[in-house]
Amino acid sequence: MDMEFFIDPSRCIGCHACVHACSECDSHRGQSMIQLEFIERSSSPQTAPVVCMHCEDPACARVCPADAIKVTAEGVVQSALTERCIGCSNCVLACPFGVPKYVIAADQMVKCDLCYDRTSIGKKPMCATVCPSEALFYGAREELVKRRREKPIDDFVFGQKGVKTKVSLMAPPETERLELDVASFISEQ
Amino acid sequence: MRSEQKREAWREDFPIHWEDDEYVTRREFTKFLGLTSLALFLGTAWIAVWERLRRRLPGAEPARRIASIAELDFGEVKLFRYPTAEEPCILIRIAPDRFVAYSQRCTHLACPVVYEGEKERLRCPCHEGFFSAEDGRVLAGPPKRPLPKIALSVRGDEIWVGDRV
Amino acid sequence: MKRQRNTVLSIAMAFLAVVLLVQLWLLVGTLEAFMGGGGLVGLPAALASGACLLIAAWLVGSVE
Repeated sequence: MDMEFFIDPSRCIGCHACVHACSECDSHRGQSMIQLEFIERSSSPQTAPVVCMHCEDPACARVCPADAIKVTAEGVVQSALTERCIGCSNCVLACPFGVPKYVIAADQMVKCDLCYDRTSIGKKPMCATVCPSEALFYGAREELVKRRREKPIDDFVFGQKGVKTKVSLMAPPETERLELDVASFISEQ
Repeated sequence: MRSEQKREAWREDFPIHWEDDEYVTRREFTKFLGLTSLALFLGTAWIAVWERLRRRLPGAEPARRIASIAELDFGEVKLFRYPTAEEPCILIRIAPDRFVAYSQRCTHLACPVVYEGEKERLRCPCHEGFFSAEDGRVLAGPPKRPLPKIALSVRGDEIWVGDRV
Repeated sequence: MKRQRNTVLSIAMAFLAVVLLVQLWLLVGTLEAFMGGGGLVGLPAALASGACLLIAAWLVGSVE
């Protein structure tokens, strides 16, 4: 049975359970690999979880000068190899989803790796396990499609660059792909 | 377009996907050296076992009559094959009452050795190696190991061969 | 910190190379004695090789 990861930011209630669960993993040494972003802090408490989308052609891996980011056979993009990462933040700038974070104290990049040590043996990632509202869902596609109205999409267009991901985002049923006009987010008007 | 092609060359050396990565880290190499150590130990242990087995195997080297005492005069030799047909051996009467036998294959490069009675030694003509007729030790020349001695037993009128020493 | 780990790794590899050479010498010596029909050198050689193997295993374990 093929298990996939689905994100539905509209279901996020901002409880931070996912962030705490991620940071409690021994190998993370107290640092969470995922973060919660406030959509518009001034006017709304709504949050959205930012987990790695595990793109098919990962920009972070492509721009890494130290060859520190590797992709497994299943297409899971690993976090930076600690021996190789030089802390240049190239990946932080390159990722269109804003996933990698540079931790100053460790001089390393950290990012979600879909809990590969768990998913490779059939367990669910920590964040999906603890999410109370199923904003983060890890399971079979058929099971999800049965229960939800929204449609999972994995096709994004940032400006003119198309990005195909392994992790799916839940979007309104009539959506084919998410086209994001990046420039319009930047400008105030 | 040319810059595209230039990028592809180094991308082969540093692939993103784990399976395409053939880069051997020092840690991997060190583990490989550990395996080599295991292999060498197993080789040595195998020889030790084989060495023991060779001596214990029953009927591997049955005793055989090779000559009668009357056949050889003092200083004469007789060639025989023991334990198999491919193993040439030399029987020598080095004293009126003493017989010795050695493998005839020089321990240097396996040329057959000849007996030089006056000098009480065995000579290998290929590279001028010399062995003592008394106990087979190397007297001179390229051989490093002594000539293997073959155990003899005198039963009445006959000379029999037994185990190699 | 990283430089220290590099040095330790290099030293471990150097020691491992020496141990391997000793084992190789033991193997060749045992083989020659065996072929020449010489004395029972197999057992002490195998024990020595086994001791070398333990040292090698410890070295490999220390760089894990």
